Amino acid sequence: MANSSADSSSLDQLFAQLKRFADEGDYNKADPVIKKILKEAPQDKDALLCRLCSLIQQGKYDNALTFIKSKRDLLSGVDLTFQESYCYYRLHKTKTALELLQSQANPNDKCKELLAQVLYRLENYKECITVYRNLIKNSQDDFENERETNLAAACALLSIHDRNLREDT
Amino acid sequence: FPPQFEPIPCKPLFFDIANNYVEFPSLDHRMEQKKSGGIGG
Repeated sequence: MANSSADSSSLDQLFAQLKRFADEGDYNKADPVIKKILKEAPQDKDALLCRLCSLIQQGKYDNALTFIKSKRDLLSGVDLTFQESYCYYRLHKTKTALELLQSQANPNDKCKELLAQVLYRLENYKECITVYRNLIKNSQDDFENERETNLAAACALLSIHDRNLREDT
Repeated sequence: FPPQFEPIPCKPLFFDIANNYVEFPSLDHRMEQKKSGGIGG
């Protein structure tokens, strides 16, 4: 029905709508808009990345992993290591998440943040503490309290772990 | 039996901070395109 010029203008409108919901962090309202965009422009990188984020935010981690696999070619040049390992982490495939994160030569801060959580869950508290100390030293954002809390949790569990080891031997 | 009760440490609070980094890509450049009237084709 729509001709090509109408397509591009409605695409602009859809993106404007999407941006509003994205800024508000309203993933439920954003999702139908993303689907509409992908219907018109199935290869649009921004829309594909929004869809991936939306799947993860809705807790659809299996779907998100399938999505990453099927769109890998369309999203070539975009580093999806963080998103992929986060899905594995939430699916409790923690070792897969760890391998993926450790396969990177220069992990970004997002990946380091996730790495710390992965190490914590794997009960590797010593390395977890090292990553958190490094993150705390080098970051200035809204999550400093949460990071201190996680560091304290790792320290507490490390001391319990060490005490149990001493009592066992 | 039953075994003696013994105190155990509570599970410490631990946040999923990485979740905050699962975010939409910046869509600013899509808005600029609109302002400039788009690319004719």
